[in-house]
Formats: sequence, structure tokens, C-alpha cells
Amino acid sequence: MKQFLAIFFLSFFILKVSFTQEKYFTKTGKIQFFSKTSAENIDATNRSVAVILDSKTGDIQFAVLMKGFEFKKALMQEHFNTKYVESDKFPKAEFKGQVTNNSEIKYTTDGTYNAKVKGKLTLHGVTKDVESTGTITVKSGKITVTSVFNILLPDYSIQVPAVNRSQISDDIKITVDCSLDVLKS
Amino acid sequence: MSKKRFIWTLVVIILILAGLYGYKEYTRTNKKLTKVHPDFSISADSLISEFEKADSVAYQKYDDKVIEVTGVIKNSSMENFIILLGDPGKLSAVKCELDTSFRKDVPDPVIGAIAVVKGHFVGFQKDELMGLGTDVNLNRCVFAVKIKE
Repeated sequence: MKQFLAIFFLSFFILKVSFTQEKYFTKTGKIQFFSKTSAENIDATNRSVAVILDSKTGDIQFAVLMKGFEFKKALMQEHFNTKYVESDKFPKAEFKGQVTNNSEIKYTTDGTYNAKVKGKLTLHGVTKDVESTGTITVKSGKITVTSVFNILLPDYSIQVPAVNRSQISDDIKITVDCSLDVLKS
Repeated sequence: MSKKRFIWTLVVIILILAGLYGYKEYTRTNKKLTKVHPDFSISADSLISEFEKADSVAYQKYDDKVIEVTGVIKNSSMENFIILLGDPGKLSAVKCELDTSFRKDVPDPVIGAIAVVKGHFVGFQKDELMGLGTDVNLNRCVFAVKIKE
């Protein structure tokens, strides 16, 4: 009887741990950035963002190829890559951080949860601490991560030439919208 | 026509032409790849393998080139209009961001079907800390030929 109970509780523990240790990922996440000035609004979208989220620890990572940002105008895209972010030198932007209120997120229960994220953003070869809020929506086993935050281009040593100052703001709005599936090990 | 008037006319014409060229260049959109001949034709698995073995060599080879890739559709996101080609048993993939100007013409891709996609190489993401495999990214993609389901 004691052996049976031990096996029962051990099995229960293993099942519980395996359910809550799930990682979620996507390779088709979306990130947009938006610059607003009186002269012009500029926006670009990257549709192939890689994201991995560990639901147990709250660790979250994003990786974005800078050349993957698509603009309506080809010249703007070329200037973005060659003059501003220098994507040949710095091909990727990355965020490594954590959902700081991870214990409040019920990854196995459908719902929308407010999330606080803190970590390091590396862009144009410069790494900065960033903090943001967002939402984690759980629906039928799928996780959607959304967030909106702002960055300042000078913080990442991204120089806007004087001739373009009226067209490009230093303050850029970043919108994150990524749907994640379970990473099957 | 006096010499002075001739020079001023020429200057105005040059300014108008320069202005038109500047406007055309400023509003230029990315070229559609439907009629562009690919620089390379390769299978998805071979393309991924090149980057896994020697990524800097492969990057130099494919940088800014148009590649026609044949592979199994292993995943898709029609919300973001992107399909993934490659071995369904592996995490590595060729990510093909489809040209959104053709959105209404493209039916939902069938997972498991073989597709031939032509796209512009934008980069790769090596399997480093993320553990998600090596991905090769193409954008402005169009379907070349759909072989079979």
C-alpha cells in the first residue's frame, strides 16, 4: 500500500512538472515600428520574428533580422539598412529577459493576463536595459504575446542625418504581436 | 533665342528632370519577383545545410540574391502571410515571407505539400541560444510552381 501511494504521488508530481515546464515558440512573430513627425509618418513590419518563452521560469527571448523589416518605399528601406541600423554590421536585434510577474500568468487556463517584462535589448550593437508591460493571452493551448513600448534611437547609437531630421523621429514606437505554440521536445 | 534664355531654359529642364527622377526614386517600391529570374535554385534542406556547415561563406554567396527554393510546407501563418519550408521532423526552416500584394491571389497553403517559392534572401538565424534550429529568411516571396500535394 505504501509503495502504491509512493508511485501514485511520484507519477502525479512528474505529470504536474511536465505540464508546467512547457516552452512556447514562434518563428513567424510580428514586430512593427512607427516614427511620427509633422513631415512624414514611417512604419515598417517584420513578420518573421523568432520568440521562445519558458512558461516555468518566465524567460523570454526575441530575435529579429533587421533586413526583414519591410517598408512601403524601397529607398527608405535601403537607407534604414545602410545608413541607420547598418544591418550588414549588425544583422540582428535581440531581447533577452523575463516576465517578472510570471507566477501570475496561468499558462494552462484560457484568459488574458497583464505581463511585466524586463530584460536587455541589443540593437545596432548596443545593449540596454528595458522594461515594458504587455499582455499574455492564453487560448486553447496557444499563447499570444503583445506589447507596445518606445525606444530612443540615440540610445542605440543610431544617427539620423541632419537632412532627414524632419522626417524621422528619435522616439520610435515598437509594437509586438506574436502567437506562440508549444515547443515539442 | 538669346544665349541667356537658352541657358535658363536648359537649367529649368534639368531641374524638372531631376525633380521627376527624385520623386520617382523617393516613391519607388520594391520590385515584384514574379518576373525576376532567380540567381539560385535549391532545395530547402540543402540551403539550410549550407548555412549550418559554413554560414559566413553561405551568407556571402546568397546576400541580396533571389533564390528559388523547393521544399515541403511544414508550417504557415496566413495572418502574417508567411510559410516555412523544410524537414517537418526538424526545427530548422526556410522562412518565406510572401509578397503581400498577392495576398488575395494565394490560396491557403496545404501543410505537407511541396512548393517552389522564389524570394529575396535577407539573412539567416543560426541555432545559438534559442535552440530553434537554423533558419534562412527570404522576403518578397512568390510561388513559382506548385508541384504536388
